[in-house]
Amino acid sequence: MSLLDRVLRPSLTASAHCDGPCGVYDPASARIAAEAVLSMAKKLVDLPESHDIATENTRGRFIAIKEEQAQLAKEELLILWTDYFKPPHLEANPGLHDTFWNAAKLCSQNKVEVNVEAAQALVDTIGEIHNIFWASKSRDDVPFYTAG
Amino acid sequence: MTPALAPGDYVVVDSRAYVRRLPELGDIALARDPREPSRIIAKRVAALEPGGAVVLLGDNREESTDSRTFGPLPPDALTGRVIWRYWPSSRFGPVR
Repeated sequence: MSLLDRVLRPSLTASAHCDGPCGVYDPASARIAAEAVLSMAKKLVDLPESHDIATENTRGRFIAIKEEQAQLAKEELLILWTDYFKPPHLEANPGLHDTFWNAAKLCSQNKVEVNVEAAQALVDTIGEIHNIFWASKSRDDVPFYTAG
Repeated sequence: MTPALAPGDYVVVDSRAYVRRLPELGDIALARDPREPSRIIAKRVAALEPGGAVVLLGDNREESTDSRTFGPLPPDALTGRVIWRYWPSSRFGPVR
């Protein structure tokens, strides 16, 4: 820290932001978690039927990651839903609440089940939320890409 | 709170402002975040409700988390008023 900065630096830091710097809301964090859920569901389906210890350990790990990431996706979605989106957005997107409710339900379903279809549906629903989100910022140049 | 405040601005706060007088519309006030009291937030006084509760709103309405999320605050939750920016020097002056 320079001398100038040491002299000038205030004693207290206030946040004029929301939950982070302005503009950090981004459905990408939910998308990445949902993609991990999809990836784990696919790996679980492809896992051999054998019940040796190594396979069982792998299965356990895949299940743990799937459930943890499904929970994370739900938390990220709830932050977007309850903190970012405001009444004017609902007027522009009357289906907003249904879309988020479906997405949150899919998170729960993916936690409980090993279901590639449901995991894909979760990624697709987050894609819809991605479109609503960026449209609310008048941006049409943000692609919804997936790693998988 | 852009453009009134930018990340990294150094400002002077009148910590006795609301001891002397009531909050006024348009003030940029400091308050404890009711959801996380260790965090101090800076928001604009947007409305004063009967009974004295203060509605704080961020200027960056699209992004801000403010009284729309955590509701109006009691006046004693306000800990000061932002009055003057001294750094960066290019933006030195009163904060409005």
